[in-house]
Amino acid sequence: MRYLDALALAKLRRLSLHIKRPKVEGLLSGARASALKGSSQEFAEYRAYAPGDDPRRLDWKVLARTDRYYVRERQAESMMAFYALLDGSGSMGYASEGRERKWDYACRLGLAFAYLAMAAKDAAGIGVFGTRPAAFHPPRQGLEHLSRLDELLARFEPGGTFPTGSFPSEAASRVAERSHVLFISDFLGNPEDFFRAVRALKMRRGVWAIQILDPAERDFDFRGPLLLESLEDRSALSVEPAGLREEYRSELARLVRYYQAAFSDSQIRFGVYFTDEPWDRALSRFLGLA
Amino acid sequence: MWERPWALWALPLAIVPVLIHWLSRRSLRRVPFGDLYLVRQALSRARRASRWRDAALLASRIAVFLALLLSCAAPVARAPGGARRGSKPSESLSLLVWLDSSYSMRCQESGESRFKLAKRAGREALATLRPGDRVAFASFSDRVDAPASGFRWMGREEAAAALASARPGFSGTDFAAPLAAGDVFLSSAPGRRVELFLTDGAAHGFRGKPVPLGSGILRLGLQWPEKPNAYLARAVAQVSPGAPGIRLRLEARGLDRPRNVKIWLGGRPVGRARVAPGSSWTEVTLPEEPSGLYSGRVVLAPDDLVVDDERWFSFKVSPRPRVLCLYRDASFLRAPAGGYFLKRLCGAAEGPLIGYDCDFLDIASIEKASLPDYRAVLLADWSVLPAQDSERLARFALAGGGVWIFPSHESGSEPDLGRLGELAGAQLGPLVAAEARGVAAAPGFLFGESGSFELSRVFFSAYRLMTVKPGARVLLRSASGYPLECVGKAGAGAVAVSAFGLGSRWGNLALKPFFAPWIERSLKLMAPGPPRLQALGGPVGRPLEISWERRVAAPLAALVTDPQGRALKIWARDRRANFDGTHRPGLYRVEDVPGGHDRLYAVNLDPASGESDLKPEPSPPWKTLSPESFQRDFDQAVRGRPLSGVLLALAALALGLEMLLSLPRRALPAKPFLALLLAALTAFPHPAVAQEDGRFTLTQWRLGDSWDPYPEVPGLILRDLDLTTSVLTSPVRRVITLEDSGFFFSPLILLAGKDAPPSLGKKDLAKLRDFLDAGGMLWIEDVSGLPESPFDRWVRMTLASLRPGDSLAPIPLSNAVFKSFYLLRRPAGRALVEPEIWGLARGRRWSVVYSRNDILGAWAVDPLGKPLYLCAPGGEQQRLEARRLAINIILYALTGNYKSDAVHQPYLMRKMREGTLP
Repeated sequence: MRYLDALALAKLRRLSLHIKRPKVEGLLSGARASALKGSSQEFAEYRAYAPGDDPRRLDWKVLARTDRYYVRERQAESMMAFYALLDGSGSMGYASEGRERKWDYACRLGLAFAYLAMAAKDAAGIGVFGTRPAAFHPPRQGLEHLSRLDELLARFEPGGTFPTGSFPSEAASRVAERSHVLFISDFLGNPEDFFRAVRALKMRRGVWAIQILDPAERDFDFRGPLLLESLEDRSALSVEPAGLREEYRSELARLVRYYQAAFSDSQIRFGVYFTDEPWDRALSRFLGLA
Repeated sequence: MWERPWALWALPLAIVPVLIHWLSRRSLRRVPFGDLYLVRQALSRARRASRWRDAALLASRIAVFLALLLSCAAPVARAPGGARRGSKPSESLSLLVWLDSSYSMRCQESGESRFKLAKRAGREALATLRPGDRVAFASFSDRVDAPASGFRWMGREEAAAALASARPGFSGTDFAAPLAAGDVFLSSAPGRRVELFLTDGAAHGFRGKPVPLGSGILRLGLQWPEKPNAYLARAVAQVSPGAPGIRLRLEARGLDRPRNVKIWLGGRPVGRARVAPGSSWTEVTLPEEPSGLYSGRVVLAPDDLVVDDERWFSFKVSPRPRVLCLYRDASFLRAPAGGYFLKRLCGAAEGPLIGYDCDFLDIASIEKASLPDYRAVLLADWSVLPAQDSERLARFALAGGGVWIFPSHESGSEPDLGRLGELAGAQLGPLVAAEARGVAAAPGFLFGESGSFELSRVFFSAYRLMTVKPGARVLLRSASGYPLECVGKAGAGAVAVSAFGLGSRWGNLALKPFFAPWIERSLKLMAPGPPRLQALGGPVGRPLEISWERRVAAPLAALVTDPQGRALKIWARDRRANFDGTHRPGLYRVEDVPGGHDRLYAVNLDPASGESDLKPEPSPPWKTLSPESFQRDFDQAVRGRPLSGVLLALAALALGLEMLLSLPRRALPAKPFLALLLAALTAFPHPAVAQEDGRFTLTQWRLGDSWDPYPEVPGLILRDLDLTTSVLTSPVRRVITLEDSGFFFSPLILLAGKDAPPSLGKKDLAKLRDFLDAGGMLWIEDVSGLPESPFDRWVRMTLASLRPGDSLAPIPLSNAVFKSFYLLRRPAGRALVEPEIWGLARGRRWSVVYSRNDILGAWAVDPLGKPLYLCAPGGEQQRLEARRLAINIILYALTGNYKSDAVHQPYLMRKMREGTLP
């Protein structure tokens, strides 16, 4: 595979063992307590009897003790679908000198999450969204599916702009409800548009968001007057980086704070990572394992 | 103006920075970037500042170019005047230098005369001349000292030599002549025309009519400060009849304070006087000189202009003139004859009443008389004069003497005076009886209105009729208009005739008060003679007029010696001679050649010139330059001030600005800046602010002597608080007193001690009460570790005084104090004096937390960080719990009963069930 080599797979394998530990149980494990009430043996909670409930679910002991009718709710074990949605716009193709592209880093992260989901017997799928025709692979169980996901990502070349307007509807049409979505992007653009686009996925889904940036986009340590050419929209801007550096960093910090606050309010886990940090460490940190 | 105007063609090069700026933008390095959203956001924020910055940068670069290019063109700022239209800075100079040689230029300025300083300025002006320039030189005072051939252009060396040989004079100043002459001379001069006046520019030089000045000439002059100057203006003498010697009256002017005056007569000092402002005249009596010649000098205490502080004088006092009264018989001398009254006039015991001495002589003895010794001869009571006597008297009158004829009272005979009668101004006729009273004097003969009254009281019993000859002047007339006295010229002298005699037989004239002045006036008219007091001398520059009296033999020549000892022989003609060499003040000796008779003439400065008034003209017709910086100012005024230096300085400034603006902008490093700010803030006393910028500051109350048992512990607590909790802390504690206005600014105040502090007064208690009621908390630590301590007694007494009913109560273990951060099971400290900690409640919270177990002591460490004190009996566990209790107390003060309230518990439980809590 292009993005997950043997070493990466080995790391993921170790990581998957970690995430089966009790403290993170319930995050990715297929054997999670579902919010749906089902027919498993596990007790969920008591509920007052309502007309139409199955009388076999009445708790007779409670009735005897309290002379009130209560129904025992049980938890249903269910398989979860995991989607890794990637921003395939042109800006994701940026890499500063000596670094890998944000796109490649995002692909590696997305596949890693897919691996973890598959290792936990969940189904994982990949989607890429941009102005180019979106690439999508529905969720499937089984690690043997991973290579197809890898192929899909390897064939895709980032370009164009990210369709913040059409993304929610397009994603919603492909991503099932009661699934978990991980959205990976550089989130460089109008923050409100990006936030709305991601939040729209939240409807009956768990959503995570990861922002990937290049160190050059973090530090803006360019020297001398430049003509910056955007990979997103092909526009250009002449700048004097030395005089702009502080303002740029302030803007970046402001952007990240906005996303952190907005996603936190919407109960969307959000993390910012730079391509100079090893992907596996970023993954561990996001999962709270480091 | 531009010395190199061709350099201005390079001005378009100032566009170079713009071109560079434009070209540099075109050749920018292209760098791919992910997304320009953040860059645009940053640009929009920085755009306003950067736009101005970029504009300033470009402007400074253009300014550097412009300033350098303009300085290459060598601009010169020149004062208007002197240049013709289209002239260039490099054209030649036509300079006319005037040197003021009046005596006011002798005024001292810091030890040197203005004349000397002016010459130096002249040399400096000549030093600025360049090849091709021309110069003319002349001096002036009250006239222009130009050569007869007129002004001429000369070289620098020749002008310098002429300047060096110039000497100051003793004359006044008149600027009209040099201004007019300079105008004429320079009007045809080529190049830039400059006229330089090396003068003091005193206002007295402009008293004449203003001179219209032509344009196109740059006039420059020196500027001097106004200076007071006292000087002697006049020394006049007066002779008193009957008093020996003369009175010398001195006038001083320009006095700003009283000054002494010394008088020398001959070569010896004869007296002192004092002159003061407001009473500038003073008198000194000079002792009698038998020779009648009084020569000497008067010296005022010197000031900066010395030459006018000295005044020379020379007076000749002639003996009293003598008249000879010839009578026929001795009865003339006895009353009521005229001789009796005449004798009283001239020889009274109280002194002569007229300025003449009178000798009385019988005419038979006329041979004995030396008539030339007399000014006039009175023929008294005369009718017939012997021919030889008449002839003699006629010769006397013709030679310049005066003869006054009084007729006899004998009737029937008409006076026959022979030759003398022919010279007389009138012919006497028969005696007639007088008519009514009163006589009239000719206008100007005697006196004014008061005299007319006296004259109206005169009567004559009789008088002789008088026929006045043509040319004679009638001096007195009767009331009816008949002439009573007349005088006529007779050769060099005069002959006066009276129609009446002097005795009382004729009338009451001899008894009237004006008898004496009538006699004296008449004698003066007929034989004026030289004044008794003669001032010999004159002003500097005016020729001395030397004359000899007729009675004295006139020499052929005279030798005049000036004050410097130079002698010059001058020739006499008609008993007169003139000497032109009065160039300086002093005494000039005039010796008759032959003869030996000499006199001194005093030559003085002329005060009428006003030269001694040093007040400068406020608006002279030239631009004034200071002598101190003359050469630079002259060069700048004439050739203009080069502006290249200014432009180069501007270029340097613009370059510095460009370098500054080119530096990358960096924000101030926060931490050092904050440290600096903190240091600045803490360097100056200021009210305690317990909360600084949202950070918690541990505030400690300074009360009593043992208030600070562990100075380093508050810092350790704050550090631990910062590390273990999310409370933002200030690293340094704040120490306050109860008087500090910042007492209320902190939610928590720590009071520690072991000895009893001073008791709190009512005001202090009220303040403490207000603090606690407002929500503040007091943490009290008894660090004594003793079961009984004076500090403990003081605490309990003070807290009991706060409010009636207030008393300390033990804080239960279930209270939030024990779980505000750490969950604690028991109190702790360095010592366990008591098993509980105490508190003073305010509603549901503890406003005072009081520990007797020395919690602070559990924190104390040595410089290596090892605990200083053992915690007994629990050891290190007890220390740990004590430290945690300190953190809890602080958190309790900040959060109150939050942990006990547990308002968020149901929400937290639900989230945990949903599994959405990461």
